[in-house]
Amino acid sequence: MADKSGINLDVINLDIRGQICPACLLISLKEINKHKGLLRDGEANLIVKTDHRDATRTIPDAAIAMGYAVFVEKKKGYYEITVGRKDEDQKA
Amino acid sequence: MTNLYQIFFLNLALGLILGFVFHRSDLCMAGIFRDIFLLKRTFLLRILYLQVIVTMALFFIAKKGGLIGLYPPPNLNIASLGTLAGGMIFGIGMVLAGGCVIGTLYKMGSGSVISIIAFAGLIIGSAVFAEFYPFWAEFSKRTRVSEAVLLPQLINEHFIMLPILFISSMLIFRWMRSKKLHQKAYAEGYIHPWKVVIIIALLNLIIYISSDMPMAVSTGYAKIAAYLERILVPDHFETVAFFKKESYSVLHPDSKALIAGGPGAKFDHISSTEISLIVGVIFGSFISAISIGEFKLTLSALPPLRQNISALLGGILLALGSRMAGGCNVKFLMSGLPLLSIQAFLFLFGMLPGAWLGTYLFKKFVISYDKEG
Repeated sequence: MADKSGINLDVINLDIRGQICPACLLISLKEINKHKGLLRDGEANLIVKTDHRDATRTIPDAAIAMGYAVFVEKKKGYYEITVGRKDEDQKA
Repeated sequence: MTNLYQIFFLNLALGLILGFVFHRSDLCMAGIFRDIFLLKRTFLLRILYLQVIVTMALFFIAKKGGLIGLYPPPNLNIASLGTLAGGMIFGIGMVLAGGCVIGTLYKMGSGSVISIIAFAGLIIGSAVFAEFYPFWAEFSKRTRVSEAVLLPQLINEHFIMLPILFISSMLIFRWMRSKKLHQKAYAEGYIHPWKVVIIIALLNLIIYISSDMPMAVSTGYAKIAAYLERILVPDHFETVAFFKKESYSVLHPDSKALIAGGPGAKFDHISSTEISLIVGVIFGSFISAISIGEFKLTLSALPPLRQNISALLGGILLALGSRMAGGCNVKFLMSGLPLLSIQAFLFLFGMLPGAWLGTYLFKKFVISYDKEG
């Protein structure tokens, strides 16, 4: 799970609601790569807002494969996917 | 069943179920093929294979049990190079539109504005095809590849069907044991794709038994185009040969009733089988989306312009491709492959490079994505 307790953690927001498939996944991957440094160091979390049901599967799949921790939460009418650093204890 | 209204309401009800389960699983046929090229992922391809094999087994058993009235079904035809070319155009279109002819419907039903644009493209594309239909019909006639519609008309069906079913069952059983038909999902009310394809196979069997034809959708779009043209440009409409033709016209062997349907602006067998499914899928998906609070018709935040253009062009190509091939992925992959239709194989062979090309174009022009980021 992504670190949600850190109050001083930066949040990078990405709203891709209403976008065409597979743009959701590709844009998210682009954003993950862009902020690779911050995400890997645990200095920021990326929060993706999507209303695409399939993206709640493809984005976590891809991010987990890249070594990130992912947390999916349903909001009002959309899903929020949080991508961040994996906790040290989970790595082991 | 030969009463068109009975068939209409039955298919409408089945369409509602179809739309509901499609929305819940977000099982997108365009995604199946796109992901092979985009993500090198074949999970969904296994799901499609499962669907083809289950459908094949059901159709085979039903035929042996004497439940199938028309074999080959009149909505499958003789394959030509037109089928191959159509498949390719269709493959490009489905990636650009972000969904196939049925994906567009269930996405639209859940409130996706971009799929409404793709739907409009599908209607426009059908009308465009109508203009060059005479030329294309001639081309297809000249490039026929075989006089048979289905492979079992050339080879004894037991020699071909039974080994396929046997070997595939072993393969599917192995996938089941190694959990290769299962994937992790986070969406609320998710229905796993393997369940959905079994449901679709059963619905398809009901459709084949009740309306003498397996599931198909895309001529329904052409019919909507015909109605619109008749209202908007009535003088021109009268001159279009495509809207006058019958796609099929056969006498049922038992009841001797005439089964006829085509893209024209009239209530016929296509209306009762395909228009009903179109309406059913849209509303089934709408009900599913509403019931879990995911209906979202947001006109305030439209997606980027390039994506809208992609959806419109994709929709047009979907319609052109399916009319050039004489059917879409629903008729060929969900119904044709299980019957070993030669048309279905040609359509698939065209669709694969088409989907590859569509993925390339999407990455290059629609979101300019490269792996290095």
